[in-house]
Amino acid sequence: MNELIDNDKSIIVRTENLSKSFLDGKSVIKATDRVNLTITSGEFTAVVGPSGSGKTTLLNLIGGLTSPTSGKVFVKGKDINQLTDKELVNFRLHNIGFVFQLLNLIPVLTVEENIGFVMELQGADKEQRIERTAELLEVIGMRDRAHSRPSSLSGGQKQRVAVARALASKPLFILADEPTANLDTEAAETLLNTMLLLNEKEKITFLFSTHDPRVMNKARRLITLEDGRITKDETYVR
Amino acid sequence: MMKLAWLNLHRNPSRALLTIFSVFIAAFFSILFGSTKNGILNSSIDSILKLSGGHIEIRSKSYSKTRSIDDIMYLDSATLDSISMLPYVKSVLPVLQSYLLISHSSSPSTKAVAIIGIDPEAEKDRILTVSEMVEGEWFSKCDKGVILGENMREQLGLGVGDTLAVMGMGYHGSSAVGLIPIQGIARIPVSTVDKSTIFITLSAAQELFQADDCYSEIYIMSERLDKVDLIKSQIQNKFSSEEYEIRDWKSIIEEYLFYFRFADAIGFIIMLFLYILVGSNILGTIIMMTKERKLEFSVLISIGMSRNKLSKSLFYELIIVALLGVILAVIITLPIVHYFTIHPIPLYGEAVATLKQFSIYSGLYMSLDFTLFIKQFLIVLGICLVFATYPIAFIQHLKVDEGLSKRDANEDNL
Repeated sequence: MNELIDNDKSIIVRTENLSKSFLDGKSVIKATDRVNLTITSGEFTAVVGPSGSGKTTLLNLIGGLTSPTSGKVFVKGKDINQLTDKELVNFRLHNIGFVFQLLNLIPVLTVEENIGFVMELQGADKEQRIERTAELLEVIGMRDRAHSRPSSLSGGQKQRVAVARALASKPLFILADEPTANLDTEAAETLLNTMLLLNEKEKITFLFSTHDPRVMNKARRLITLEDGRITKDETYVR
Repeated sequence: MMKLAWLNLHRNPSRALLTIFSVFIAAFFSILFGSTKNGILNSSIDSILKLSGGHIEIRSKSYSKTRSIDDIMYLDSATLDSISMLPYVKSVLPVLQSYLLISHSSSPSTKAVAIIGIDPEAEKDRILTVSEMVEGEWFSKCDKGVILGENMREQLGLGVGDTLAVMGMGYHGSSAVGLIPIQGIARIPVSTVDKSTIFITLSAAQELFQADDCYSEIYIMSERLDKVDLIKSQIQNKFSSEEYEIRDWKSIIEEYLFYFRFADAIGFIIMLFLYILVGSNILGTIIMMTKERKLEFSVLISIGMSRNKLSKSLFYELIIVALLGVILAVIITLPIVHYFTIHPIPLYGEAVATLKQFSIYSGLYMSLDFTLFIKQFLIVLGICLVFATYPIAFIQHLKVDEGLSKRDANEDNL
């Protein structure tokens, strides 16, 4: 059952007392604990906190990759936990873009094919895919690498392609879990600039987890998690 | 999906090769073992039938009951030719068999023996495959002499060149009386035959019994064991069921059948163990290949690839791998099986003596039977298809967040 709760059209994500617990032996670990959060369109938000603070779990919950122990996640007013697994996959396909820390790309496909892959899953025709892929390659500045395989790209290039792939389906927002974790300073800088550019010019909403100070300094909103709870939620004008 | 599946195989060639090799090993051994099992069975039946009859036997119903020379059947050469022309018929062997009393001037007593008139040319290979001449020569077409077993020779104390006086009942009241020279001594592995049977050419037997164009039995050898039923049904159409009895090898060598069925059952159990062994090898490889791709599957499901589509892609991958493995096994085993169909693996020592006692060839033959190749192809492919349900179930139950866990993530595996 879908619920239309959020009347404010700018609200993309809203969580309500969102909790997730794991069993570790006999003890219960609260990865997120009654998290209430709202993400609006066009945000460039970083979830920060020490290792084990629940950043990844929060992103997984918002992306519908795991179900909460209690609480709710609404994406554009829709309670995603009410969706069946099949509906959830389809929902993600059309509404959420993902950038992971590792293995974002399908190694046997070229850069161009990787970007077009999600569109292919959406059922877009070949012309549309070619046009959108070319556009995104331009945005990430990798037009010359369209036919390269991921194995020939640097870590930073792979992450930029991953961002382009996440954007290909024209999602509501992009979830990125520590996108710069494996990158050197220069590559991290380039990736962040690409993400910022997309945020500013294309109004793409980014929600990402990080403990990289370079990323934190670029974020316009910093949500700090400690022991699964939000301890700070600060907005900056950059 | 098919393209992605095909490309995925190239991504980790060693993983793909390992899986192909597992399937290849499964198909390779099941084809070789199946061919050997069938080859041994077929050659055993074949060698026993060389002394005990043929794959199919025709005789008159009355002869079957009385075993009297008066009840043998008359068949013209056109009928015999029409049987030879049937598909899968290897040879047609007419026989005239009866009983006689034999004696020799040096021996005070007479002995009752079975006498079998055979076509010397057609029967030479058949009989000499399991027996061997120890003295004298095999028949030529017009020979009038007899060949007897080593054992009988010892009983009678005779040798090549001696003459036997024979006396018995001929066809329809005539007498079968004559003096017949011994022209050869053979070592015959079946002791009852060795002790109490003498061989003569068919024409000489027909002359002795005054039974031109008459036969006690017609033996038919088939090119393939699995075509015996077909030949039998075609022969049944030619012969009246009221007058003739047509038996196949199963009823001719009934006493051996139990052993063959037993051997077949043992072979089946061994095959089953082989399937379990190779099946677990394939399953192990599939489980390994599925588990090490947990992160990849999780990423694909996260970005919106449905579990069904992902399952389908992986299923295609396994089908391609299974087909490559099985086809490779067929290509490689085909010449091997063909070679050992013609050149049996020789046996030595006591095994040879034991097999000879049962009139079985002393070599391990393989059987080049295409239905066996197809059967093994389908069985191994079937095993792969059954095991392909594992990755499908794995994907359907995969917890994406666990799959994406950084603890398990290892890009090198992908």
